Amino acid sequence: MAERGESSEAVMLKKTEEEKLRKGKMIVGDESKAGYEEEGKKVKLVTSDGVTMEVEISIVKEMEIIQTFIGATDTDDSFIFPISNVSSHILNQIIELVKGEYDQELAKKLSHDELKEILVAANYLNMKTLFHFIATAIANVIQNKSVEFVRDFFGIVNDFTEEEEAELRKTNAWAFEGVDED
Amino acid sequence: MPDLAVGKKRFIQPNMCFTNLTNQDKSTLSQSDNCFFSEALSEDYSPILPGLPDDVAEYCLALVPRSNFPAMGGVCKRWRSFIQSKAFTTVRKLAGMLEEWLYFLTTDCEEKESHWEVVDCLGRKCRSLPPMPGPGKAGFGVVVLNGKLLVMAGYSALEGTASASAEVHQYDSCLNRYGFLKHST
Repeated sequence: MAERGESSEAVMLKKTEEEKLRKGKMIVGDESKAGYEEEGKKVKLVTSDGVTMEVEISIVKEMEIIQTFIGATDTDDSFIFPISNVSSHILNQIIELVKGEYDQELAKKLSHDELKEILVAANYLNMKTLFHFIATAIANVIQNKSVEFVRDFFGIVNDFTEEEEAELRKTNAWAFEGVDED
Repeated sequence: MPDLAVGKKRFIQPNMCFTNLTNQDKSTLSQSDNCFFSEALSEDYSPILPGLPDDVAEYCLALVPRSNFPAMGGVCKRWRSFIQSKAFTTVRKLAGMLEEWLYFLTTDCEEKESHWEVVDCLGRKCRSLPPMPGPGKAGFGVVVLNGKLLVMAGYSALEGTASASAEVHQYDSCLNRYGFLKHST
């Protein structure tokens, strides 16, 4: 663990921190997280569009990718975490969803593109609760909807021939029962 | 702005180490980027959900309740083949979405023909299966393999003469559909 950490993290540390590391002050494990658990404390994240955002520690805690990093290095308040796969717009949406305690009503306000981008971001940041929440929102879009609605919503091309589709309808009576109004 | 340039340089590599650090403990959330790009390069590749890596999209489909699968199988060929695949069952298992359904064979009121009915795990009657293809048979064998119901052999009585059957029908429980299993003669 320590060896792996040293080799990959060293790149990211500032000069002063590198020195600390050399002096053997690097703390590995949960103890080093303690400093980040203070109420109201913020962590700086820089997004793909170059915006530096100060995010509350309670939200950053859900980002396992950042937690892994904090847990493995001796970072301080001035440290800026790059999250180059996530735009500031999406990060703001994520913050809102976490603060709103994952309310399905909030998810309904998101556009299809936002849903997808948040899902990709949640996957990248390793935010398990958010990932499951958005995946469920997408599953809800699919549920009880006509195939035409699903294709249209996700931009999926219908690659069945007319004959194949007629055959599907004929042999698949269930599939077309109980469909919600689009 | 010289600062920005310096900043950028610093950030390129840290990302790589982020990936290294987190891949260790990803179970349901897997390394989507890699497979996304390699697959996207092949020509007739179509993603399950455009704009999403397939492993992420697969997880989304797995969260949809089972009764929707026949309809989902009509969206496009990619969805259809995924829903029929063993991989789909695996993802649903990981997501804790497997639903147990009970299939039973029963006769209609005149006790002439038999048909299948399905109840879900709470004992609610869901629906009847489409009739088995071919002439009404008796004495056939039934086995379940990977979520597919195989109805094998038996005999049918047509106009007073009984004839043995060597046919095997396969019922796909996800797509609610019968198919023939070809056998070599």
